[in-house]
Amino acid sequence: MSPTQDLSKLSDAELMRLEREVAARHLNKFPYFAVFWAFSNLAVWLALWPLVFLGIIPLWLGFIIASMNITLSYLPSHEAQHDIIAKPGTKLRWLNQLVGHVSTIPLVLPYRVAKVTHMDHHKHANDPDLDPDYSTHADGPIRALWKSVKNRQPRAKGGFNAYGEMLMRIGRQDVLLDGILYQIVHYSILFALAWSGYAIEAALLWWLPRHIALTYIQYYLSWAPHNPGLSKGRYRDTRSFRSILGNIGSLGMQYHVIHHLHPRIPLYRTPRAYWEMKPILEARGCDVHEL
Amino acid sequence: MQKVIQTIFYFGPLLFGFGFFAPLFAQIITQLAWTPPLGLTPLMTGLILGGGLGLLAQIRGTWV
Repeated sequence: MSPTQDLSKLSDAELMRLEREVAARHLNKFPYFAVFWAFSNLAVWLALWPLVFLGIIPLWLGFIIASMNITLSYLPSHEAQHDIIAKPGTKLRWLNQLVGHVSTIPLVLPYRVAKVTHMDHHKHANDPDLDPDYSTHADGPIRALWKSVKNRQPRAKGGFNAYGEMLMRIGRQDVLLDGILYQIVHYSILFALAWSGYAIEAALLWWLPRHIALTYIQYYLSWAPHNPGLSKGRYRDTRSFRSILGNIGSLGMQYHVIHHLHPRIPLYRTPRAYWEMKPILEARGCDVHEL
Repeated sequence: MQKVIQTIFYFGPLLFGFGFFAPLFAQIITQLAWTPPLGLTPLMTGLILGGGLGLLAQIRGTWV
């Protein structure tokens, strides 16, 4: 199948067969890099603390590296949320769960909260009442960045507060408790550091980098791939897009349409899957005109 | 227990203002070698600024 081939005359069943053939070529691939990424990223962020406290590296450099670390901390967990590292009941399942739990520690996002809310996002993408990420919708990039900040305010309706509402609605108070515990531990550590004379270090190695990371992640993982987010349905609720920072700068999200269609394709395989699947996506009427 | 946690989270902005911003501002003032007015110490200034910001956020429900 060539990337420019016109498949619009094919039936739904034929398109689905072709789509599944392409997807099958990219499923069940072990994401070695994501596993390495999860542990090395966390190790670097943890190492920043003694390195900065002992004066081995300057705080400004620690701040830059911490901002990158925390921004990069979500994606390995995302692979785990979709059981891409190992499915339930398989030999390496422990590794899948370990990656899921440890990688988002700097982001202060518990694995179970991330997984449950993300599965609901897939199920109800772009639904104003049921999509837990709907609050990131905004009319343009600047407003999207500002919305991300606004959603993190104490009495905001969106962001993590929307996650709390959603978990209460589906009766998962046990998962909500994870979020409460993470918040209590996070703020206790920040307060303890601050009152021990390390307030600036705590602010520049964790507090501010985390806010930068959350803004960046919500922009590229939630707003950009779903903008304008007016439609629902398998071939309508997300898109491909061209980022000025490229696919790596956009955290691999340029081909997000592939992720929503086949969530168990590892992140590193989505570009290849996209180009192989593009004629099918066009025939289905997906928003793939930017790439 | 649930009531205690809800109360802690309800007063989150105020707690953050005193618990984090106050020592942060105090440390910044000290590092800049700035002498606060009215004979205030850096920590007292931090508590006024951080606590004040926290109180504002507590009342308004937003920091920004």
